[in-house]
Amino acid sequence: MTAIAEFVAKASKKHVRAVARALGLDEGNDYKREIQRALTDERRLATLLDRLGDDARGPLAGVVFAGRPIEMSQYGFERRAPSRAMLELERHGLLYGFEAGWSHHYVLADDLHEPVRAVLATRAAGAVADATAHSFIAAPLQTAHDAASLWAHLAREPARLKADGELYVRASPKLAAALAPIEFGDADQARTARVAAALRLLRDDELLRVRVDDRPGGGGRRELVPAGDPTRTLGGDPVRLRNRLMSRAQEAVEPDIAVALVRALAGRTVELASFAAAFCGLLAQSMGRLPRGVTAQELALAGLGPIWHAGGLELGRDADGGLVAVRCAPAEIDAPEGLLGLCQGNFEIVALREPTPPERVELELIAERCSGQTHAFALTRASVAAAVRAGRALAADGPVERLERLVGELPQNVARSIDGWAHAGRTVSLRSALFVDAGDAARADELAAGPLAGMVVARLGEGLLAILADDLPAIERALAGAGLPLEPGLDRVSGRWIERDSATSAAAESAWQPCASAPPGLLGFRPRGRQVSTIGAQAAAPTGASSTLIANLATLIDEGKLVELSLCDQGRYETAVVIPTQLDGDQLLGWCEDCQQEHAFSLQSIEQVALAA
Amino acid sequence: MSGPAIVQSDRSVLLEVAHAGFAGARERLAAFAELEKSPEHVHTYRISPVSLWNAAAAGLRAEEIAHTLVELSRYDVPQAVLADVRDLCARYGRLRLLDGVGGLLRLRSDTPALLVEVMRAAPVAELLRGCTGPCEASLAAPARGPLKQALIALGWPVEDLARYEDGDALAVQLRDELELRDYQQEAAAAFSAAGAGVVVLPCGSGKTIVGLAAIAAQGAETLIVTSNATSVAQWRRELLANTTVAPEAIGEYSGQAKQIRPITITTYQMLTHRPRRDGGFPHLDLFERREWGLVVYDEVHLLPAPVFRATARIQARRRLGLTATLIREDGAAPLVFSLVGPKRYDAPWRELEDAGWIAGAECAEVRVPLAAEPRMAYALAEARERFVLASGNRAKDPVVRSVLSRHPGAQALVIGYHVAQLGRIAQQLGAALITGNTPRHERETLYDAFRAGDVHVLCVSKVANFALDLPSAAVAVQVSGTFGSRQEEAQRLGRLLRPKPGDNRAWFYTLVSHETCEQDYAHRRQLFLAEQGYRYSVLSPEELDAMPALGNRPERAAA
Repeated sequence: MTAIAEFVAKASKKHVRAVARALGLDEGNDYKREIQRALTDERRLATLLDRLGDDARGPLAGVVFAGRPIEMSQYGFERRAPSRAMLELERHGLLYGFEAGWSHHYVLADDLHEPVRAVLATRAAGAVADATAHSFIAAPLQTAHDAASLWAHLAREPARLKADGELYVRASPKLAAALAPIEFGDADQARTARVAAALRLLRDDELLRVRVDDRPGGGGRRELVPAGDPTRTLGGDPVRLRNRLMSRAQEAVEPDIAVALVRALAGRTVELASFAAAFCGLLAQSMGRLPRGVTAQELALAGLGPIWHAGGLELGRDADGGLVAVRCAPAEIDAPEGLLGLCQGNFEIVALREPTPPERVELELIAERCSGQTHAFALTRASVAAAVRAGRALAADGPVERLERLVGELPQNVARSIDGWAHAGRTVSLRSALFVDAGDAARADELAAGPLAGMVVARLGEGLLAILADDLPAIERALAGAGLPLEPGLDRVSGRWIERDSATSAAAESAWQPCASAPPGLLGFRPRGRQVSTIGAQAAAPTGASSTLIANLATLIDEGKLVELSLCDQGRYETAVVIPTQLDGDQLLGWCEDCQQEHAFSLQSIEQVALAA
Repeated sequence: MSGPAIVQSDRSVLLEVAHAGFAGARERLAAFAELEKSPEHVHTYRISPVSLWNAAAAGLRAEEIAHTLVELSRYDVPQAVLADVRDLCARYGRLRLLDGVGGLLRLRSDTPALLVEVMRAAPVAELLRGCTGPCEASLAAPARGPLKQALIALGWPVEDLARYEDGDALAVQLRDELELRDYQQEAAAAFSAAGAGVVVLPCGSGKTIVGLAAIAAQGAETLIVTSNATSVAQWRRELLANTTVAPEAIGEYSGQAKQIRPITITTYQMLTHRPRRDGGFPHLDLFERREWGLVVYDEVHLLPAPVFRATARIQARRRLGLTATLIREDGAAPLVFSLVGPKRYDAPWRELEDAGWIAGAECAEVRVPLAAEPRMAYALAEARERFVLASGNRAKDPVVRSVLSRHPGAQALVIGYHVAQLGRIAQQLGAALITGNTPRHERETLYDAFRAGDVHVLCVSKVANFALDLPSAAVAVQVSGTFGSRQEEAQRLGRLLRPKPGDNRAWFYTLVSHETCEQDYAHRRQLFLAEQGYRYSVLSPEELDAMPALGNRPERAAA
């Protein structure tokens, strides 16, 4: 990651002079500063990129939107010279090329990313037409609301995980059902995308943990349970939260392109169809091609959806309810006024205004949302018991007090019943404890008073010091600091013959992902990740089982590389991350990382092979 | 924040009671949505296909409904709801049943395609005789009901414009001293104008009187089907007291007597009785034993499946359904719509209460702890025994006395499920006991004595759940009940809602054993009453004792 100034500083004088000349800078100027100024001036940059043509703009779009490093390399082929477009970009100081063994790498300076994005997006947005809409639908901070709903749902009903950290398939519908219904967000695929985005947010903010039942005979059941205090993470300044959601959404290619276009069209209400055309143009430029079998509008919505759910724009619809427009301005976030709603004698809470995400956490934790409804919530024995269990992390007081902060005084019969349920719903928990075996009483005394002071829960016997399992890392550090490293491993009693390594739990925890691959976007299209470098970046991907492809694959098999296959089978577009193992007739055999088993891929269906990072 | 309503994507509408526009909004919503819950602050209405077809039958157009929703809603109305409203309303009236020639009827559709579509369904095809035009098919008169039933199952309600048979005439007039209340007059007129349909009025508001007015207006022989024998007696009493019909013109078709007279009263149980489990229903032909000009279905929400089938055969007769709620937990509301008829009149109970036509009631749940010994027995009991142990809790006995002592001189009912428990309490109170074993004449004697004020406390088992008219009862103490039955709760409370002299108030106490499964069942019942808008308090026996006698003025949640 390097700035223009650093490249210029390290480049030869000859190269710098050549760049200056190409940029039309006068001799005698302070080239280094002027080059930086010229390249970051969006107007000049736009003129320059216009002049360089599509061959040059494509790789730049790939870098700034798709994070595709530009590599010129060939497997099984003789080396070839960089393309004319690459040379032009290099000559104008937009790219710096490096030679490394087999390949050329081209790098775009860090401080050029934003200007290039803006210029490319502005250029693409030029043909987008203005429009009007019958009404607009906004979903401000929806991802945060979804995260709040899921956190509360998991407190009531943890989701089962497989040993490898993936969610069981049957958990998904329940998680999807836990989300509040919203317009254009309730189709199965849209809900799946919302769940994935919300889980990612919770995971990244450390609001989820994996609970592993390692009790003797427990079977190692793994569950995804809530952790931490989401009211803090999801609270605070809503504009800052929206920006955070937007930047998370932009981690995928399509939303990133959508954001760039929305910024280029800031404040305008534009036709969805022409927005989609501009979007697809930019996407094709960034990715080299468009996926098949997906309409331009669907692709655009895959990009717009996550941004809409963050609150970065509004969607406009016509009188029949069809989506027809995009308002390229952030959705208004209403400042909450007064109480959220009220509680009725029938144990129902009605939200009379939209809750904030922290309010939603509290509300959906203590009360269950009535099925299919957005504003009605039911207080049940189970919801109150879950609130008592999970609510300790949120507040010291009981569910009645917490509810009264949201909805004011509760009816007498409701308050009385909740008190009763809360009392009956209290539970005791089983926690893992470990013993440090000091060896003898004197050493135990020494440790308890010294490095482990404050960390020993109880003294058992002469030389055993009980500690909380959660404190183990701190204990390890303390003992290491005192020159007493812990012996590796753990002497543990288990009811199972085949001992489950405790490391498995930790591995599952760290390996957990919200879903196997990138989540589907709005309408189910999958936004793609960026961590892929292409082989033969600007060369057209071979189609069919060409000898080139077979030769490339043979090399990759020899080298045991992890690759991403772009597959197209009967119009269906998908990718697979694979370790190719063998060419078998018209099939490639390989270990599929996504489904963790061996698969055969028809060579006819392989459209592109890329090295996976 | 502007509109009083929130329209949700599941087609429920929340209406805020405290909003300035509540009254107007309620009136507009009631035209096309059913009131599902009416607790103190926010009422829930439900827009269903049947409610929309009811609205369409009353002449309301889809655009008017959509406009109302948009105008009343605080937030954007979900697009899918508006689309459903337009789609469902548009279905009503596209198929019509008309009179034909030679005793046949005609099914006419507005497009040939629709006729073809419905005729492709086997249940419809087998009822039609064939096409008489591109948009028309003929059918035999007896197929009228089954066809309507088959078409509504396909989601195509039929507008039935075929004529009704007048039946044999019967001269009946309401007595001069009976003064119909405004809403009763309106309900009877709305029904008479249509010829078939349902009148929805709250418990205690005088639905029977509406029935009498309909009979008088029709002036034809009438079959009345009601929920139980007590109700049969009540209908007979009301007919004799309020109409000019002679006693010998009223027949009772029951287990005891099989009289079929110009006005015949029977029960759903009687009609659906069958000697053998796999046999037929021998009494169902009562519908066809006379030329009835009118059939009255009391408590139409209880209409059982066999009666639906019989009703399907008598679609040429005028039909009146009476109920306090159109919501059926078995999902048979579309059958009521198609076979009995659309809703013709609906009066919100709050208006009736405000006008003093029904009493205000206050509900309280008293949680009575089990004594140490039964508590241990409860802890050790199997799940099935627990409910019996909890509901029979002897510690409830003194609480009953405590409740009654708070209402000295009030007419009170002690209602229970377990006869032994009721017997014990009756003995302690020195009160009369009525159970299923009490001979009918003895029951009537005791009820009459209670009505006359000669008896102040009656202990009654579940025989008193339905259609028992004891207008003077002002206090009810429920000592045990069936597992969380919401209908039972509503019916028991309904016994208290007749207007009371003085402050027009009633009290409904439920005694439950604290920290037992009975409390959970009571919770469900409590929910139901709270949903009807009754304020419910939870008390301990000590709190009850500390309350002044009659000092805690009962209140209904403010509307």
